[in-house]
Amino acid sequence: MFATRRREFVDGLMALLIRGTSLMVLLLVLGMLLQLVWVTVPLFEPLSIAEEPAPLTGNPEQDWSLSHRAVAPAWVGDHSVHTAWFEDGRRRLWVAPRRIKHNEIQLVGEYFRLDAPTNQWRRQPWALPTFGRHVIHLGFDSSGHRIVVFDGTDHYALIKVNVSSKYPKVQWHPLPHAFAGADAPGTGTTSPEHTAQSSASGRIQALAGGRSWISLGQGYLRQLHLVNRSGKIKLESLRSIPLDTSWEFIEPSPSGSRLLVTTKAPSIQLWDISGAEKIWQQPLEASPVAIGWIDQDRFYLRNTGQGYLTWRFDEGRQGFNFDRLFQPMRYEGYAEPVRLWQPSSTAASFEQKLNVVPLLIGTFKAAFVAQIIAMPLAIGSAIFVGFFTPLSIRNRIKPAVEIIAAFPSVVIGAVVALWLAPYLLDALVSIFTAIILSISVTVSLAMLWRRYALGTYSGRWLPLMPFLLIPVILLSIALGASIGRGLETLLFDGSLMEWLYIDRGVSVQHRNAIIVGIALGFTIIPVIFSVAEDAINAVPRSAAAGSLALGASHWQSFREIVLPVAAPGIIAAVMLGFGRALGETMILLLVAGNSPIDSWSLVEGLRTLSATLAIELPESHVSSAHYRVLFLAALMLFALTLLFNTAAQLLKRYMRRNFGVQL
Amino acid sequence: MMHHLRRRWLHILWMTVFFTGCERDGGATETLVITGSDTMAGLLTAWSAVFSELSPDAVIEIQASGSAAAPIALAEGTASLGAMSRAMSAAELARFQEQRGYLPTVIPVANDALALIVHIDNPISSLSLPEIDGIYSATQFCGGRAYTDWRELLGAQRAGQIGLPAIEAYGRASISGSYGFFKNNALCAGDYSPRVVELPGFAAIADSVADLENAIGYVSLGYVDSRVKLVPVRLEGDDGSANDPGLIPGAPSYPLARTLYLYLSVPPDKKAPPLACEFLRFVATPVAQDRLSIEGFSAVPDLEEIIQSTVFHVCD
Amino acid sequence: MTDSSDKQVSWSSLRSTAMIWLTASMVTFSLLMLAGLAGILLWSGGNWLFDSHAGAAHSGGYLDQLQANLTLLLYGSPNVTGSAAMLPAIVGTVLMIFLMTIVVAPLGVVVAIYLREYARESWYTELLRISIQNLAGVPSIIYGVFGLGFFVYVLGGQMDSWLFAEDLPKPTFGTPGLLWASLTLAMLTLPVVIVSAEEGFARLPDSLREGSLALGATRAETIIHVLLPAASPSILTGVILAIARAAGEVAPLMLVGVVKYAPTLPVNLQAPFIHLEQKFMHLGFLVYDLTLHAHPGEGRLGLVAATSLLLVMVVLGLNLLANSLRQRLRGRYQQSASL
Repeated sequence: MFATRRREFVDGLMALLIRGTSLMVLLLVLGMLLQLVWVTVPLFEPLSIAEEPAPLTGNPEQDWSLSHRAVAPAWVGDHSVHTAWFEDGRRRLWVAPRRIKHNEIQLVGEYFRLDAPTNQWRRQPWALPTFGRHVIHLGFDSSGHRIVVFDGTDHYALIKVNVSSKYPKVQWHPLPHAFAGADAPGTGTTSPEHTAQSSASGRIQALAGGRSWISLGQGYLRQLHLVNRSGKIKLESLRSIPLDTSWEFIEPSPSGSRLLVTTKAPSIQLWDISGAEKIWQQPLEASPVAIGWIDQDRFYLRNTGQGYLTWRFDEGRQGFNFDRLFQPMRYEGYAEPVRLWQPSSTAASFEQKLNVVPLLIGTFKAAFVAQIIAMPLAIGSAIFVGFFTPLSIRNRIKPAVEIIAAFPSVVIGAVVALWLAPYLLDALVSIFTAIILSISVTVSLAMLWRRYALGTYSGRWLPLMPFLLIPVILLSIALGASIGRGLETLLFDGSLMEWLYIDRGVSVQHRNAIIVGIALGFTIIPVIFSVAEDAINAVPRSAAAGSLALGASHWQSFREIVLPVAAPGIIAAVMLGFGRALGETMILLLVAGNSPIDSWSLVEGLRTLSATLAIELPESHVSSAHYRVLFLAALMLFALTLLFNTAAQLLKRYMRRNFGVQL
Repeated sequence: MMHHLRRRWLHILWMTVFFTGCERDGGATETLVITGSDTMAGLLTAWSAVFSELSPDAVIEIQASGSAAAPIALAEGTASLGAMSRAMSAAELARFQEQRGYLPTVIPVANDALALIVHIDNPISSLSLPEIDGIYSATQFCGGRAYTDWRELLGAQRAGQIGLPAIEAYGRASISGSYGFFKNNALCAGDYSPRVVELPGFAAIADSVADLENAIGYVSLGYVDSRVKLVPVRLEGDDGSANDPGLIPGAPSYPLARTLYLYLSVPPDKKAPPLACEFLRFVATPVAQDRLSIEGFSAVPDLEEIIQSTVFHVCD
Repeated sequence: MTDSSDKQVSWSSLRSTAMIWLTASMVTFSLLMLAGLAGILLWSGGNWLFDSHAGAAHSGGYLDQLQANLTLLLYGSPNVTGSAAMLPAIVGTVLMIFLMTIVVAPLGVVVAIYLREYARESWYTELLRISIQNLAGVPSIIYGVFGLGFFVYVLGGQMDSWLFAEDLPKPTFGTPGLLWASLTLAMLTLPVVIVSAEEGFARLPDSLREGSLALGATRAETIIHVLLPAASPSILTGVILAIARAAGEVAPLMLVGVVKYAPTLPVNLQAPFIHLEQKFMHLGFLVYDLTLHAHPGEGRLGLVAATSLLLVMVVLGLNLLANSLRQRLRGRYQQSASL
């Protein structure tokens, strides 16, 4: 007995270690899926708002900076209530209304421009108008090129900033009462009372960002935004929220998308403007004296007893709904509802546009084109290598095609992006005719050879067939390309793309789905080839041999005997290829234009889920809505590839069980 | 066989460590991490190469993913210096202040401009700001109209020189400071159109514009070379005179001129890390300033004084 | 079946020959595309390697010029705009692969042993197999997302608060770096190693196991002393394939640790010699960066081609090595199966 107990101990320990490690690996794998879900789910949770312990010292109205109500900087001249100011890195402007006579208001202000070479601020000549209306609100738009002035009779005017000589007469327009464009989700009901005649002046407040204002009228609160309609900028109605007469204070948030409201009840409520719905409310003990925002996710109220209550909410948990992710939405500044992916900007007031539909469309577009290109090549090669080639040679040809798999996709993307992309689009017709010609020549040559030359099959040359065909194919490609060029000149007046655009009105871009599809298709050839070839080869040769002995041709044997058996494996191969094409990142980053277009057109650009993850994840703030939506995109990608891969695995297993072929 | 393999691997490992360790200095004391603008990446790389020769003990890491990464990295402490091709926005400053409790220190280090480029054969003579807005944005906040076709800008006859008259606009991705700068100054704070092709670097934009007749792009000055044509920009005047030749980068009121910045995070009662201070002092030297023109930038006037006063306040 | 004097050739045989040639032409097309790709790289890269460039001009012969260009490629030069320093990228890649191998090889082998030797057919084993198969099909960027979300922010954040709390808020491990990149790629290449190792163990004839057990060895001893060495070529194949994959994958690394320019190697003579929290450079990322960000200049295309050539040669070499190993294995065990 040599050290039996110790050996048994080691044996047991090792078994434990091995089992434990496998469990750990399993957990890690499941953990990956779990983590994606973990980060994504809070996005859909209803808004959680927690009351903070009140600050012990300080006066929020003075100490805490409210980005849209910040204390006026030193260079602002007038500090009266209606003063508006604007600053970006290179321009500083302030403007205020000044009553000069009983019925006349004059706008006064200053305009400073930063002189880049000397780094000094210089005063610019600036002509401002005079008019005979009472001003209840004025503000700069987001660009600082216009001032929006609201008067007490439900009219507004747009004052241009760049006028240096005498200002022309100010044009006043009535505030919009009806909606322009299609009804948008979240607009609330449009009952007759809401489109009533202009009431006595409701209050006007600016939403952060300078793109929209809220107008409070009888029974409704309307969001008005500046829109460019065929060259004219005007204020239009974006949506309305039914207004309760018991509302007292109304404070828009610094990010412009939420509204803090107190009611007579007394209670405090939080409204989401883009969804036009109440998302939180809390009854209060007494009506507050003042409310306000500390930051875009913190707000406060001041009680009569000089105490403060502050609340904070999690920006990443905001009751996202699927509408925002998938449906067209109306955004500030846009004339029509659109599906947009444009998540980030430097301004907090920027409306994050997080619609994933353009990304999904892009992902599938690229994968489809790749599949169309790869399938004939991969499956055709698989048939040849797996069935027509004798077994002994197979082991030499198979790796030759699989070498493609060894090329890192970065390199394939780099080559296509740098060397091929500039010429590919113009060569499309030539490529097409070249391929058609090569195939026709090959087929005709085959039939001619069979008919006239040599008669019996020379099996010895069969494995060399692809190489023997090289000169044939090359010549046909060259010939086909020149025919193609001539054809293009003849049919399309010189260029297919130009013809499509000019004559047919199809919008065309150079970095489009076709270019990406060619690069991507090349990449997935080995993926499809491997599995398809294995499937075809796994069918025992004896079956086909029997068919051949009975007088069927090779192709008939293949089609009738081998193909039905190998079919599930081939389908599995195609699915694996599709799954791979869905998730490929580097080629998309290098070759595609990454423009998130909401269109299925193959000659327009695209942006995929994978490329978006690679580009945007490093710059998103952890636990922000953008971060979580990106994880949602990752989850969708994961689920899609899981779907296709599992289907492929199931098919492979089916082949294994039912046909006894080892895949 | 396993034994031999294992020994050989160990051998290779130690050799690698030994030799690569010998390549670089052993006594590195501090790491200087510069995160941010891709526009400045070439300049920073060149600067750090020269700086390493002067201070061999320095360890430098440059991560140029885009200006938007700089405030985050600076606030978290992952970067010693933040490079940005635009000023930090109010929101970024607010976030920084909330996270750190103070505002970052800013130093302008170079002057740059965004130039609009088109293909050499494109006959366009100048573009006004509303026209640029019409090409690039979905919102046209500058007040003009949308443009999707070169014939709208040139007329059918002159546009005939461009084979495919569809306008293809090339720009940077949202993480880039140039993206934000262009958005605020050329798009009048509007949104980009989703059709704008987003490329990760100016080199790619210049390549695309040089290859495609119908392309237009914006690049930093250093990337304008003989392969592309620079388009002067007309300001939107009262009357928008069509005879205005437009401004080129370098002209006094070129609307897309900008300053490149380095940001530092220095708590009010503390001093900046010595390596960062050394680097800043180095930036003011003639050796570093000579580098600017090679990269296509111009110098900030009185940079030496600015840096001296900054260094005086935040460095030992 | 016809003989040569018979003028009547059936349509089906004509069609058959046509299909054979057609499918052969598909192979031709694929090979031509491959040749085109390789040709572009070789031509452009080769030209670059043998041309004289600013900063590497040599009046001597071709070999001298080649040497000068290789030096330029490896070390870069501040005087040449758009020059790339490949040596840090090579070292970074090698280091990361080394760390990844340390993690993935044992892990993959252990799981393969479990599946082959210990597991009984149950829902748990089925689940494990399915997970591994699906793991193989997950896009690489998702690994990067997971690596960033979990390894970097959760694990790294925890490590920071336990071990490096005095450095906070400056993160040490709570930020992308060498360690997390290696772990992420280890997860990515795990299925490759598992499949290869499992194949290796499956090939071993049962007589090996039975003989060892009959001689009184415990299961553990059988595995360690008999099966592992016998299957080691397969395991090696798997590891080599994993390395080849890791050398070429860029997408996940963009999220978990690779950086544009880190001239300081994560390995140096300063304790603790290997700096796991540092960011590093990677060959594949260098190709990506050069394609998009390199300063325009002549020879930029050639530079990209030369760098890609190196990367491709490494990856291709590894793949060929693994394949030839695999071929030899099949031969070897077909012979020994008759024992």
